[in-house]
Amino acid sequence: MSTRKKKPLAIPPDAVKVWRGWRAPSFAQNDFFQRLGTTFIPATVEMQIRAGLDTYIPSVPCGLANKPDAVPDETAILYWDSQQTYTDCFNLLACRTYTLIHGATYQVPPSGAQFPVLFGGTLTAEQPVYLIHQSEDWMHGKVAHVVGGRPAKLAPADWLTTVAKALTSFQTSGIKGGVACAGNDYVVYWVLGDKRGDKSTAAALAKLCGWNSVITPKNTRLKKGLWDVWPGMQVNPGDSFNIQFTRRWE
Amino acid sequence: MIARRKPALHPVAPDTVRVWRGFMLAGTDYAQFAQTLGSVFVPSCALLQPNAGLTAYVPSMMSQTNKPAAVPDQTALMWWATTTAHDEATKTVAVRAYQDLHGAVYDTKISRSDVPVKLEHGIVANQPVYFFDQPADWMTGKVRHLVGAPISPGYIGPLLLWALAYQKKPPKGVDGALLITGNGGYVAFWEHWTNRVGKSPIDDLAKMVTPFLSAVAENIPPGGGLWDDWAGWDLTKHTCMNVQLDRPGPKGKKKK
Repeated sequence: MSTRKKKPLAIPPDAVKVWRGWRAPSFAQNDFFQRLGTTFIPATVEMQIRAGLDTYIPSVPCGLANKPDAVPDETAILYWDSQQTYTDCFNLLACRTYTLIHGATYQVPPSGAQFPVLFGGTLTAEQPVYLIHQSEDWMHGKVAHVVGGRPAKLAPADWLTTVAKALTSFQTSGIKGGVACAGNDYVVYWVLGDKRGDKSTAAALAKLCGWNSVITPKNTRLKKGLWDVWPGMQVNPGDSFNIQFTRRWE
Repeated sequence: MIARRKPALHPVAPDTVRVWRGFMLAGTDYAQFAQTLGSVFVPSCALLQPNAGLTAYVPSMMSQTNKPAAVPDQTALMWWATTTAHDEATKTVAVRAYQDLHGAVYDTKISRSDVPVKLEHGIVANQPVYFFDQPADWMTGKVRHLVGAPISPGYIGPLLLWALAYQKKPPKGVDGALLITGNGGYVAFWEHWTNRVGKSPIDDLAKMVTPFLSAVAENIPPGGGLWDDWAGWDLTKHTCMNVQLDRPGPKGKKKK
């Protein structure tokens, strides 16, 4: 048996699904945390690695103090081998099963995920964008995440314009990667290789929001597999995980 | 297609089964229900749960033609290795994920599964009964299944007499039988043959009901694994299946 590693894959910068999820009204907040930790987050990884999942960074703004309802309860970026890999995933039972459990956990719509387009200076509500057109490995990098709400003084159109101006400046700030999505009332932003502290793009975007939280995903490796006895993860308000796993091509 | 070995016998006690009666979620039509069940739900049950203790799985679909709402849209037998295996299985991510699917397809307020008790002197609505004490391996052999709406409102008495007679003198070759009735709305019966299906009093039961399913389950393996390119089953064609599970070996070693 060969011990040589397979050739590393250059993950395309646009092969990322940008998820914004809102808790189903039928779910109490504590039940939502429990569902995420006992089933949903572990299943995302365990059921989809073999389908071509390359990075998974879920975050849970739900339950943070004063979070506006318009800001998602859970966010995630999921990188795949390619956009086609994600499309092909639905030929596999594991991915269909994983997808169907969303309906019981989230309110759909407005919850949903899309691939981003390369940011060109303007934003369309609910259309994710990516800022840097180069392949990076987000699972093994330093990631920061911002979730924020529109300031009451700004109209939605002005809000989108304000965020777009900030993102334009971020593109030349030296970051390795950036992914964002703005709705009429919220923004979510992930950055790879940001500067530290007040000089970071994350801090700059947070200052533009009415309410915000800057989150640092914690590198986390699941200790158990699909069929092991395991109660799952503990999930609390504001938690974020950069799930560490071995890709199918590694 | 992967060649499948002949499964080792795995007889289990008659009270290790969950008897499921499923009703469609309001707002879904039958085609959508069958499609979701066939492409996701039934294959998931068959592939996510054997490593957690599922030993046999017999899902069936009821005909919708003139079917009263009280008759289930789907039934299933799910046999487990022990009486506690079903509850233990929920300690795994795989089974929790499967269970979280239910709300997406079923009306969970009226759909339910129950564990049977031994048939003795009576029949109670929504309480399944088993006829024989001996362990049986329902995945091997053949399963015959009948689901119908009782023709007569006073059907309970004749049904009990029929069941006791069956229990007293079972057909040769039958080592397991299960019966359930639900609030006057339906009767469901399963019998397990160790080999070929023969003559059975089930034909007399069929005369007491308007049938919405009367079939010998098709012994059929999944068409692929969790990560294989497989669309699932067309449940408008495969209306009664005895899914041939890939059960773990005798040492319980997991197969992924």
